[in-house]
Amino acid sequence: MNCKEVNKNLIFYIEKELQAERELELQEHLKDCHDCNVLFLNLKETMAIVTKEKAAKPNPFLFTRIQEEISNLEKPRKVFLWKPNFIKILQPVTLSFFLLVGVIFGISMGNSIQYQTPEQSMVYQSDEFYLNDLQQETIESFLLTEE
Amino acid sequence: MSDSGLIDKIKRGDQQAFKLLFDKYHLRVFNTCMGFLHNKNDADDITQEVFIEVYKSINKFRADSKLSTWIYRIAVNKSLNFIRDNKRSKWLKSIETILTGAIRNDVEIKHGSGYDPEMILENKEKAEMLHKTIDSLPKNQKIAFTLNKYDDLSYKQISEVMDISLSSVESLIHRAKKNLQEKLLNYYKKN
Repeated sequence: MNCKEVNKNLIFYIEKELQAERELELQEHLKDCHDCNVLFLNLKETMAIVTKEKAAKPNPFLFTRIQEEISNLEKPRKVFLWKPNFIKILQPVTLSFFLLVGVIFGISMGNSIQYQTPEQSMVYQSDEFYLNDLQQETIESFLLTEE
Repeated sequence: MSDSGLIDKIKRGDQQAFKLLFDKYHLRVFNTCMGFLHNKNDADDITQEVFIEVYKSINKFRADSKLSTWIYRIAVNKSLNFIRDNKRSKWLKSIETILTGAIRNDVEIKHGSGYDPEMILENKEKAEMLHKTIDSLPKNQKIAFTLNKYDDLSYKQISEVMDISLSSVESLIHRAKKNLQEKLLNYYKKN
């Protein structure tokens, strides 16, 4: 049996599903081939994880949880017949109201802005102070000439 | 008590009979869910849903199939639906893995891998790889393989649960194992 054949049958060897003759051939190959043996050990360990997972136990309070859930199902629920209709009407009404308020607020904001004529803005600009008000003497020249 | 006796009593609202049914089947249902979901908390939740469904639908059960077959079918369908509906983002899953990782590690530690951190990490990587590979199998191969490996169901029982022929089950499990082997060996060769 060559490596390719071994690689095709490893899982069936681990699961003990090979015929006795094939199993012996594979065993002989694993004794001599290090690479195949490493693959075999890895695969065997991985497949053993299933057994470990099967050992996991469910929550010990699972039945209590189920009982509680079932008793909740059996409880008669209070049904408010008016509630769905109320919500159906209230939702669009509230939405429309806030939309209307938003539009009115926008219009009133727009109207409150007063645009200035070009003359007004010229006057306003001439009153502005320049940030650098000491252009005659910079701080560098002042420090240099201090002595 | 026989399954038919249990069913009759549960139909009449006997809580004790429902408890007996739970005791009889809950481990098998939990293992089925674990096989599909690979997560203890999710498996607990789905097991709970399965038994609630059993309780709600017991009046519709017409005994065309065995009770165990019916319960397995519910467990498989609920698990597959959970996987389908589970659209949690990757980062949320990674947080969950960190939080629930301890539970999985507990299982690994308890069952023979010792306390070597390197070994635990290696086992965790292998478990993740195995889960990914099982999840990547075609649906029917995954169902047949999971029922066979996680629940130790015979090919005959699997054929009843899946409602297919015995030869189809044999073929599905054979192909599932071949696919698993191919994918896992490729992974080992790369690493």
